[in-house]
Parts: sequence; structure tokens; C-alpha cells
Amino acid sequence: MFRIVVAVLVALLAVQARAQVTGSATFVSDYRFRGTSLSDDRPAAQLAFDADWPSTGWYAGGMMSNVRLDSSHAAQLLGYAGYVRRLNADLSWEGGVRYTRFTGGESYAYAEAYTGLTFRQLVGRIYYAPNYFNAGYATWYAELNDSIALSGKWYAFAHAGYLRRAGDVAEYHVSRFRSDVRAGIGLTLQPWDIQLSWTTAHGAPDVALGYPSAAGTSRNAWVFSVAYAW
Amino acid sequence: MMRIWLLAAALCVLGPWAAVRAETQPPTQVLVMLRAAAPHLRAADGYAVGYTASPDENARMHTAREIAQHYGLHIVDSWPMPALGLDCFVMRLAPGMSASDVTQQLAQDARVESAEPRQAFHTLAKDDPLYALQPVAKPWHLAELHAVASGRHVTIAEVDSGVDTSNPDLTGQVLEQRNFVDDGDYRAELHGTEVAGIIVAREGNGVGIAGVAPQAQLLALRACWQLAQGSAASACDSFTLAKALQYALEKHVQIINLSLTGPDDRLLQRLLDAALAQRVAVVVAVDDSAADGGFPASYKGVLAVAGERSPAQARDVLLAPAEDIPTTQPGARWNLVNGSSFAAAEVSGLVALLHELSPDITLTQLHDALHARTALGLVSMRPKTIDACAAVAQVSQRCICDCAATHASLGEPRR
Repeated sequence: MFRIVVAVLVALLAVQARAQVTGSATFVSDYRFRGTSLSDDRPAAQLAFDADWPSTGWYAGGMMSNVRLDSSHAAQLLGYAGYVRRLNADLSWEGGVRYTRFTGGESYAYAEAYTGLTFRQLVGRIYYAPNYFNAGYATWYAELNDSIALSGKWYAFAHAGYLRRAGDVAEYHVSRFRSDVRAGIGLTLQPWDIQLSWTTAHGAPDVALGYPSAAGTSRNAWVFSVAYAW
Repeated sequence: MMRIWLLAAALCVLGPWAAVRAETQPPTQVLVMLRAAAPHLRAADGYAVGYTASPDENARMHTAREIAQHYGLHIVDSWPMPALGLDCFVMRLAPGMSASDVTQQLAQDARVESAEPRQAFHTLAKDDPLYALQPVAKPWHLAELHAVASGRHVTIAEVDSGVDTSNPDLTGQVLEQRNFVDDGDYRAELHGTEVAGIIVAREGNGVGIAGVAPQAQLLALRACWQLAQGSAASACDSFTLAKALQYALEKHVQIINLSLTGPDDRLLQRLLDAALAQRVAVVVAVDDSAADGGFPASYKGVLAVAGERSPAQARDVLLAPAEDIPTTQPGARWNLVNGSSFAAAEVSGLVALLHELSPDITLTQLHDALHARTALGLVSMRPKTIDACAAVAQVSQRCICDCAATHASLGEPRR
């Protein structure tokens, strides 16, 4: 899968039309992924880049972050590529694939396909991972994200997600579902973006979903982030 | 003190001349459009940073800087145009550069979606309020029309100079004021206030006038600026107008009033196309001094409006009263105004009434209702003054006013 993503990236770079490329560096007080801390409730630093070919609809990008899995430090590498099509001025459709792996003893490598619709600021996506975090079972994840401009450079945003895993969960005696919610406010001071949000998760525990997070991480957290884009 | 009065008088005289002069000067800035990708998943989505940011704006700014450097331009401003899937960058030419040459070169650049000169526009008021009072309400039977429709639940974007809401006829009548001219505060100006009063002036408040659609919601979008104190003459340009049109589309207005004119402009044409595709009625004043009525009046699909005594002979032009129209001015003042700017404002108000009566009305149905027909049901081959009662009757399928004439024009038996 990783080779496919790389091949798509190389093919996109070969497209004659010029890409629009941007990068960002982010400091975050707690690296939360779908409500789960991948940094053991501790701060993390991240680097990301995105490339768009607006005349074709293709896009691609990647991210690197430090993480703390199984009580040891590691790095996460993520790549994605997709296609987006504007249906009208307010509505667009997209689909793509995302590949994630981690350094260290266990790679937890997995790929995920996604599709979604965006209506103005409202974004809805569905993700399917046949082998989520390399745990041996598939998951579906649905999310809704929205944001609204407040006065000046302030904005508010909210996210709700719902994850369902396949396979047998009898050994855990728990649910196969998990929901996560996040809401916060942000301040855009180009090229800086500052956010403060609160996040919570309910349902199946980390271990039942294959997350390699350290034991004992909290389900509720305040998250502060500062991002610099260039 | 005398000097100040002399200066004010000179500005009044020179104001309209300055607006036209600006249009004859070669443009010193160009508008460079870069494609913006539709919103999509990004590397950090669902991770640390939020669900809001559009970091690709930075990417387009990089590209714009590269382009500016390559062609010897200087970035002055930028504005997203999501209705067209574009970001618009304003770039200033270096001395001695030709806007047309630069836009031709930019058009060949793969990074650029399109480019055009930043063009000058002006409003269409005649600054000559010296005629006897002649209420505009009379020929359109406004009092009778308001018994059934007054513009409720209809939003009109007035793209013009600033509107003064301190006039008692306009207090509480303007939903929102936005300034697209500069980063400064919103300003109250003559032309915008005059046009606003004709459309939405408060009815039955014991002062002033009644707007054609007094209960419509008005977005007062300042895209033009008054050239001199005391003169309604105002100037705009293609960038300020594009920003205001983009905002009107974001707000999903039903009607856009453009009491202004200028040269053909590709960016504005595309925004008008987007508006028409959303079934927005675009009401535009005709420039009598231009053979084709000027742009955007000449653009296909808009409702072009000229004064009743206009020499306009185009078949699709609507005629409405354009002389001696009483309307609001900044402060608690009223005056008579003349010009196709105000004829267009009247039609915008009338379109609001039609929209209230038939919220799903199509542009074709609107066009048919407003264009006068002969008693035989044939479309007139020459411009004809709007018959408001007939238009309302055609849309509502019942007679509201002037019933004898209305039935004759509709070719229907009297009920």
C-alpha cells in the first residue's frame, strides 16, 4: 500500500500543471486521534505538507509527528492522495486513500480509504480501514466537522466521529463502537493558527480498537495547538 | 472659508467628470486569478490542527508571489471567490508597463487561471434635482400592490456606494452593511442612500417616502465610493465589485441591484453567470451614453433597466420612471433624483414583490412578467414602460390593481 501511495505521489508530481504546495509546523499539547491520545497525554510536534493540482482535482500530502506508543517514543509517518470534484459553488465530493505507519518495533501500518461531501463549512466523511492499526480487523469511521466564523479573526469549530470495528469483541466484554467529540475556538493570525479545544471519547476502550496508545491515557482532554504555515 | 466653499463647489462640478476620466485612464493594476482546490482532506485533518483551516491559501499566496516577482508586479490585495473556485489577486504594474501586455503574458502562464486589467466603473445618477415633485408610487399603484406584497422574506443586495441608515426612512431597513472598498469603516454616501430609499424606505412612518419593497431585507454592499462631498457621482472598480458580488452569492440573495456601468469585464461576467445559475435576479441600470447600454446592462440574462425617456432601443430593455424621483439622502433629508440608477432601484423593488408572491419564480418567468405584452399576447418589439400591475397579475394569477388594463394586456377575460 505504501508503494501505491508513493507511486501516486510521484505520478502527481510529474503532472505538468504546477502544484500549489504548502507546509505547516504544529505544536500540540496532546496529540489526539479520533479521541485517543497517541502521545500519552503529552505534547507533540508535527510537520505536514499538502500539494494541490486544482486544475485536475488531484491532491496529495504527508505528515510526520512524534508519538509515544507502548510507553516508548516513536514517529508517525502518514501519506495521502485523493481526488476532489466541485459539484457547485457550495458542494464538493472527494475520495482518496491514506496510509499510516509508525517507527519502532511495531509499525502498526495500515491503509484507509475515504470518501466525503463538503457543503460550505460542513464536512462529512466515511473511512474504511481493512486492517486498522494492523490489528487484524476492519473498521468504519464516520465524521462530521463544522466551523463558523466569529468576530474578527476568531472562529469556532466542532467535530463528531463514530467508529465501528468488525471482528469478535467477546474477549474484551465491551462494545464495538466508539464515539468522539471535539469542540473549540481558534484564532487565525496568518501565518499562525492557534486553537483551544476540548475532546472526549465514549465507548470501546483503546485496546479493543487496536490503538497502540500507552495504558491509562485519559478520555477527556483540553488540547492547545499552535500551527505555523508557510 | 471662501476657499473651502470654492473647493466644495469645484468638487461637485468635477465629481462626475472624474469618474468618467478614471475609466479612460489606462489601468495600473491587474487582477490575477488562481484556481482554488475544492475543500478536501488534508494531512492534519483529524489530528492536531483543526477542522477549519484552509492552508492552501498559503500555497496560492506563494504562487502569487512567484508570479508577481516573475512579471515585475507588486501584490496589493487578494480576495477569495469561492463562487468561481478562484482566488483573485490584485497586482500593481510597474511604471511603463501595459496592463493589456501583462494580462496577455499571464494568460499563457500555466499557474494562472485568468487575468484581466482592474477596470473602472461608475454609478448612473444625474446630479440634477431641479424638477417638480412627481411621486414614483403613482404609476405603479404601489399602495394597492403593498396590500398583497411588500418584499417580505426577500433579500436584495445593493452593490453601490455606502448607505446612511440614520435617515428615518432607512433606520431598521438595512440588514447588513459591508465595506468592500477598503479596510476602513463603512461610510454613508449619497448615491447608495438614494438607491436604498427607493427600494426599501419605511412605509407609513409619517416622513419621507415609501420604498417599492419596504419589507425586503437589504444588504448594503459598499463597492463604490463617492468622488466629492455633495455629489452623488461615485466610482467603483472591477475588484471591489467582484468582492461584493461574491459576498452577495455567499448570502444567497434573491436580487442584486447594480446601478452602475463600465467596460466589459470577464471576472464580473463569470460572477454574474454564477448568480444567474443560482436564479438570482440581477437588475442593472442602462448607460444611455453607451450604444449597447454599457456593461453589465448589455450582459445576457440580466434585467437591464433604462429611464422612460431613454434612447435605448434594445428589445429586452425595461423602462421605468427615472426622473424627479423623491428619495432618501444621508441624515434626515430627502431630495429628487434623476437617472437610470433609480429606475433600476424601482425594478429591484418590484422584483422583490414578485419574489414574495412567487418564491420559486424562475428568471424566465420573471422576465416574461416584467416585459410588457401587447393585447394579442405578443412580446413587444420595442422597449416599453413596465406595467407593475400586469407583472403582479401574471405572477400571482389574480388582478391586484388597474384591472381593466391588466386583463387587456394579459388577454384574459375580466372576472
